[in-house]
Amino acid sequence: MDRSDNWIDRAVPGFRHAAFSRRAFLAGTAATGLVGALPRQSYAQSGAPVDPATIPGPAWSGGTRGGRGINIWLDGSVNFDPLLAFGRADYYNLSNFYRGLTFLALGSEPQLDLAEALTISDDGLTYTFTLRDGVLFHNGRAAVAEDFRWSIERAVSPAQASWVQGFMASVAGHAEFVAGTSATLAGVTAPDVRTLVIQLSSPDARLLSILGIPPFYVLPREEVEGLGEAFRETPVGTGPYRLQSYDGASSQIVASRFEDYIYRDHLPYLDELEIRWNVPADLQYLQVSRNEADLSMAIPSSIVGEIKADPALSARFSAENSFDVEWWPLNVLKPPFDDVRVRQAINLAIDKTRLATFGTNPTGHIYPPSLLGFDQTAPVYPHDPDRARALLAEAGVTGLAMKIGVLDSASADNARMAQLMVQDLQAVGIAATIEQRQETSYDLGSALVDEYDMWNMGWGMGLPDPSELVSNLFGTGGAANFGGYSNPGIDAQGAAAIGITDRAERAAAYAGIEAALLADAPFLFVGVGQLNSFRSERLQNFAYDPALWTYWDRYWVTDA
Amino acid sequence: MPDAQPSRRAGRGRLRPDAAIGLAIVAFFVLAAVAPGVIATHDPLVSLPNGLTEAGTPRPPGDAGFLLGTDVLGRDVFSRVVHGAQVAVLIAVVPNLIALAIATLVALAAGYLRGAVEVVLMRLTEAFLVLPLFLIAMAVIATIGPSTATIVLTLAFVSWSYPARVLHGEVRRLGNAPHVEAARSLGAGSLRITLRHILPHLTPLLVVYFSMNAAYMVMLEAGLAFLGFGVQPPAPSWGLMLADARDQFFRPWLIIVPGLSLALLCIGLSLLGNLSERDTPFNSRRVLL
Amino acid sequence: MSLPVMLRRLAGRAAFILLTLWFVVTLTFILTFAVPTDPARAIAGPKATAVQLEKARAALGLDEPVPVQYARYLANVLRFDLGRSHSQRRPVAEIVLERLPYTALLALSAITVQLVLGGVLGLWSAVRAGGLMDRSVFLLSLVAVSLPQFWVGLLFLYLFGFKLGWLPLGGAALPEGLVLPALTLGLAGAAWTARIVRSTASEALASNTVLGLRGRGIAPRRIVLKHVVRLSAGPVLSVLALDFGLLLGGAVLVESVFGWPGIGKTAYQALQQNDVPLLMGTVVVGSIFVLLINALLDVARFALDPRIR
Repeated sequence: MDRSDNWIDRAVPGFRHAAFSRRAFLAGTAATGLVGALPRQSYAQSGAPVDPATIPGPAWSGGTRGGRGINIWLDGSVNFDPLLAFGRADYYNLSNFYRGLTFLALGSEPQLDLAEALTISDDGLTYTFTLRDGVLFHNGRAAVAEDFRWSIERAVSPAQASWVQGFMASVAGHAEFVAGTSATLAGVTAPDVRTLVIQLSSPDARLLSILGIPPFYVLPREEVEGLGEAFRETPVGTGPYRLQSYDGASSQIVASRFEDYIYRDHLPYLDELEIRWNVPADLQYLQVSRNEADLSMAIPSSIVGEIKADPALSARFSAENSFDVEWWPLNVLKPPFDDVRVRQAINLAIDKTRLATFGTNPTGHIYPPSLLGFDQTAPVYPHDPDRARALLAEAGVTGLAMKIGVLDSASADNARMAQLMVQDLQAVGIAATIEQRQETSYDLGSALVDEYDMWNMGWGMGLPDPSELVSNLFGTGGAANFGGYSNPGIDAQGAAAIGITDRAERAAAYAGIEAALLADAPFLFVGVGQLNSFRSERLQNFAYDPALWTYWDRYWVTDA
Repeated sequence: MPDAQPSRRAGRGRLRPDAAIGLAIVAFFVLAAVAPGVIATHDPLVSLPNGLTEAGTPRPPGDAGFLLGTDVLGRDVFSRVVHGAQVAVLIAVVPNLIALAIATLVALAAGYLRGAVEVVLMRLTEAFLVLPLFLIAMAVIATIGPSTATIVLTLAFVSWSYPARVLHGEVRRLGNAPHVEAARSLGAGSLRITLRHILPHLTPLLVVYFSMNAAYMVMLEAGLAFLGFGVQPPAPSWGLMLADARDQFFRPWLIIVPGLSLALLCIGLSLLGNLSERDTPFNSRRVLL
Repeated sequence: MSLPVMLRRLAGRAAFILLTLWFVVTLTFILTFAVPTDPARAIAGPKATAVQLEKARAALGLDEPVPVQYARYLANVLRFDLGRSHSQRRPVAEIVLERLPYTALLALSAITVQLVLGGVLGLWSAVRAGGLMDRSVFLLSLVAVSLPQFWVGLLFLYLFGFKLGWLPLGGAALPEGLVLPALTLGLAGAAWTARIVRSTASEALASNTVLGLRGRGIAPRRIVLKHVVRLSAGPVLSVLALDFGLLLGGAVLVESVFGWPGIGKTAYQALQQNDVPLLMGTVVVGSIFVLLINALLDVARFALDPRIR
């Protein structure tokens, strides 16, 4: 239906705004100030044709360009400022609006995107990017090296204090800039309009991956500063789609093909991409099954069995491993959970395969399967109640009662899994009770250990690299390490692994860390969250990767 | 003497047929609450070995001997519904009694003290009648935390106002009743009159409101449980079962069965309330949730 | 009613509304302080750095004495500043006002269902008192008021959305997305309206006025439509006014079942995300909304029913 005919939109002026009328006004005022100094390039001049072989990301071929795709999400709200996008509907749509120096292809592998060439000095400290010619922002201005420099600087600036600030810690001058003693990030420079240089103070194998995540994509400074708060609902970047309309009241964004997109001769396929949020999980399946929407990544786990049983439906379904790590920390400082045998017994007591029904891939690992360092042969805990009982007896523990906190009851699956755990623990003589809370574990933080012996945790990885898990989840004092686990050996191994430049060597180092952690069993190892992805009959060429989730620029629809 | 009371009229004679049906329904649920083991066929808390199909999905009603099927964890739905009566009956009684006690206290205090106290109490009552109490109850439970005590007190907190207003009207009416006039002329103090000559005459109204309010309580609690505030899993509660079933369109029995139990109990309570319907104003507080 | 009396009534009404609001606002203030979690953490987000947390704490002024915070809270509410939502990172007032029209539309539609369906069935049973229709309406209304609304919503969604595919499975599409939520929310009200109309209309039909009119040979159809409806309007409106708060409570559940983006669903989301300022904002705005509608219905009742004057 035509949403511009929406009664409420007309009744309450100001809900809906034409994103670009305001921008036209701002462009006029900005021209006299700061932006006036930047080179302007007209639409007609933009660049030579791009060789499709240099376009990063999953493959495509065939299909017809045109049509509209509809992507539905659970989130209650969105924020398209790349530094403030914390939800799924916003974060995993950023790459539709913005692009950066690199892009994460399948396997979360970084590939050059808006940079056409890169040279790395022999010491691994100087990265020199040559930018593609003809990259335009949605407002028509050419994106130049200064824009890339400014965008990276903004992402780590003390004023933003964003969650990605620490990712650039290896860049020269990072500490001074973050502390406020330097006004600029000295290690990032733009010697000419098409050259960007990043100078590191110590080798960092993660740099190209870091540049490939949306918070480091390039932004037009005049729009970000001119729009102010409105920037969150007015994404302006260099990406394949540009904002057409933002309707907060209807929880819906319509974006249209960016006619001057750098890869315009090939991508995107769709004329229009519609993003709707605020769609309850129970309705997402129904909408997609009736082709009222094209893609849901939040199909409730409870209906997966029926979908798989139907060949027509199962062809449109896939369960994807996410980067959402799921683990249930134990209160390691409190007896008897300070005894490693008790912790191992709990890991052995619980039948993880039964948890698979509930939106989880119970790998028994802490690393997601596609992550660097994931080792298929790692000694994960099998379901072995007899050994669990033996270990408990060996530790001299009898009649143990434990209280399990189920945080964030927004997800019914956590409570369902906890109920199965209670049954399994009962079988080895542990009497467990459940307490469900609305709050997330992050809301309660350090208060968790005062109330529970075990609780559920989830961490959505921002960077496709295991270093983030080491420092945050189980490193001493880590941001999500509310159980207070501390292992100096693991801390030291983690610090050393960041600087290793050889990929295989790094993978081995991180595998070693996971093995040490498994032996120590500071939590109940569960696995990763599974995204139940379900597509309409129209949507083609679906590809998924846990870092960026979707690649809407290369999906097409059959009735275009 | 009290036989002058109109409210006694309905109590006279035989039990009306609709009230008898209500009584039977309510009695069934009370039995289920008191002795669930007698009716239930399985342990309501345990995932049964054959509780799920080969594909890992719940069993539909009648399959593999499960009368009303099984849930996503492979537990027997019939047994869970029977055990769920416990929570429902508890909620129908405890917060209800507290609410009626508050209502009686407010009505008597207003009627006894009169003046400014009466004005303030009745304005407060009116405010509680008008406000979106479910929203407020949600906010209260969300911030204080959903323990059984919080839920019971919150339910009482949001449901005393309607009976208070009706009881207050009755207290004022009784204040002018012949037997009260008589007592007053004999020199009885107003506190004595309130306690001895007015309070006992509120009983018939209280009985009616107990029954009507009970349905309201049960639905309120189910609504709160549906939003995630209720007893803790794995304990069976109808509201919780419904909350767990909202994404279960492929397994309609998981939606239908607990809701039907809820509706049946509420219908039973409403019918029972009709026992002396003539005594209540026709526009009795309706139950919306 | 003379003008001064009318004015005094209005002044009394306004004072009542203000006091009630003060009560609600104070309650939300107390509740906000009763929250066991760190609001700064919730505002700054799960991946917040220490700097962000510090900034959030300072911005909230959590170090000031409670009376100072209370005074500031009241002053803010007076300026309709309801704080910032930490899940949506924007002003609560903005979010709630954006959602309110949806709830208003839903409530209006539900009331329409309630009045039309309830009115027609009630009049019908009154006119054909004791007949089959009368008895079935009585039975249906008894059942309808005993059904939990969110369950009815789920059943409607299952039947009309999933099984039959006639109507959308939730969402804010107009007008088709409104049908099921409005029906669900209006059903219990319709049952009550039917009972009230049945009762007042029977009374009116037996009244001397109506008997007189019939004696003068006026068509029964005309009598029912002109006089009986008018006499029933008062009691129906007074119940409507009283129950508007209940209607809004029901909207919380109905909106979250159907994904209808009103303030009820916003409250539910705020709850799930532990967004205390947003939750309290929905309580305050919901209360203002209910009180205003109530006052409005009160005025309408005076205008319609000469007996009250």
